Amino acid sequence: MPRTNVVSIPLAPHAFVREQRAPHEDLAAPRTNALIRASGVEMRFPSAKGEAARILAGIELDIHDGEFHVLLGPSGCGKSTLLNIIAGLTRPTAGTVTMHGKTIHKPGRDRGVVFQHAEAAIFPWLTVLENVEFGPRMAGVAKRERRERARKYIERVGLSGHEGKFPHELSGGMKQRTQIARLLANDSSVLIMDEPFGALDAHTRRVMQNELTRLWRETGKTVLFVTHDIQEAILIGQHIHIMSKAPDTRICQRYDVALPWPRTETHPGFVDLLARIQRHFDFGSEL
Amino acid sequence: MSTHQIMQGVRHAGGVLLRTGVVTWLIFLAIWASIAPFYPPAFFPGPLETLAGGKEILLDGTLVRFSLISLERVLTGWLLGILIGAPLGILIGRVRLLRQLIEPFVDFFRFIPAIAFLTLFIMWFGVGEQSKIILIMYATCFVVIINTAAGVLSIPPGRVSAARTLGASEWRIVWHVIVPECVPYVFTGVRLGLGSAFTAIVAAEMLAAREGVGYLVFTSRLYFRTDWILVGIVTLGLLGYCSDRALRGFGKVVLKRYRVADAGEFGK
Repeated sequence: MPRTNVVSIPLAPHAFVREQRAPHEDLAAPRTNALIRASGVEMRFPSAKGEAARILAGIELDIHDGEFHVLLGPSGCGKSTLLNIIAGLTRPTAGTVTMHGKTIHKPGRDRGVVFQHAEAAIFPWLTVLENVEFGPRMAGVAKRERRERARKYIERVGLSGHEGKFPHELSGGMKQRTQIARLLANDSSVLIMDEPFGALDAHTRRVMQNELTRLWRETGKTVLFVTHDIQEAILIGQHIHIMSKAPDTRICQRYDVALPWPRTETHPGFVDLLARIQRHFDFGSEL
Repeated sequence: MSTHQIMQGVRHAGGVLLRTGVVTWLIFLAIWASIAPFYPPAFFPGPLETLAGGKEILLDGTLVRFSLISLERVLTGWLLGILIGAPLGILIGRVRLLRQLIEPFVDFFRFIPAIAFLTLFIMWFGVGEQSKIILIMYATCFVVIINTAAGVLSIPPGRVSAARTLGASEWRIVWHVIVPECVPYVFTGVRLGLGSAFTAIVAAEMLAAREGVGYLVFTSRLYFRTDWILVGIVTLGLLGYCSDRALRGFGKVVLKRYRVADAGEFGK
């Protein structure tokens, strides 16, 4: 495991960014009160040859209540696998993930997931309203109350007037809004998002990125967002974790980004961070 | 009105007649009417003789009574078959062990038509209604099970995961995700099952019944009433056609949100 190495750069534009090598035991935040903590998470998949391929190797991750974390890494590095483990859909072959100090071993309402492909995640036989009230319905919330709650969050994500539509009548962006509303209505405190805007056109994508950071700041939810897009990571992320490429993926660097939202690509702090993160990907050795 | 407009009107009307099947039936009747006069009516009656024979048994009530009896048998067995087949299909699709156990069995029975069991069922359940209904049940059940299980297996895993992360229990997932997800597949099975049910009932009524359309087709031969045989065949076709149309209408209206395909035999 690499040694902890914290880099703090005092002058502008660097002042917006704090850099640290993972794991970061000796950093300000005490490790005891993390909302979600992954320690020593390892994942092996059986390969064709018979020997298990190690995708994740000793992932350490601390997420505190109300933070916005981005996992950034090359395709196939195991980002989605890590998300699935935190969501409780998959179990790691070694290590643990805890929430509120308790080990996660199954999915729960507290950890809502926005899936990459909305078509495969929202229910096509239910209207937008019925999709959004699905969680509360499963929890046994009375019809009137859950309708009310669903309407509130449909409005919140900007889908008012589309309550009665079926998913096939919605655009890609609207489907992802439905997924987000569904989690808000279900009172999930953590939003786990797996490249949710990857399939959207550039414009819609930008709108959704801004709306997500707005919703996050308004609701105080904790967000864990996976992407392979560096610009997206910097546009939305509060804490950006760089994941190395597979096999034996680790979190090799963490950036704490203090740029204000909504962010623009032309901000000097943005440009500086983009250059620095790009370096990880340009030279494989840094991953 | 210009000639152009008239031509356009004619073409439009022709299109409607072609789409609704009127043209097909007119051609069919024309061929039938032109071949029949070459044979004696007792061997091959024409459309008009068939119509006259049909009128005869329609007026004395036999045709309606026989149709209702056959229809009742078909619907009872078919509904029972669906009630047994759909839950079984879901179970087989969901439980891997069960699927592995049953699959070879399914591949074996797939090639045995329901009618092959008729004599056995008559031996076991008597010549009454019971054996016929069980036969239809068997005929329906089978396609429904296969289609439902295929439906369960084709569910995108993401939907089940999504329901799970939203806090649905495994039982609720079955009812609120698996069942609605399977509806179009079950519906296909149900439609195919209706076809098998008609096949089975005619065979059953031919061998062991005193009433019903199958009985009519079979016994009319003894009275040299070939026209009644044709009336029986046409009635069967009409009953099947109307049932399927009603079923498709039901699928289109009631099951619309489950995206049940309103497709004909050619999938269009």
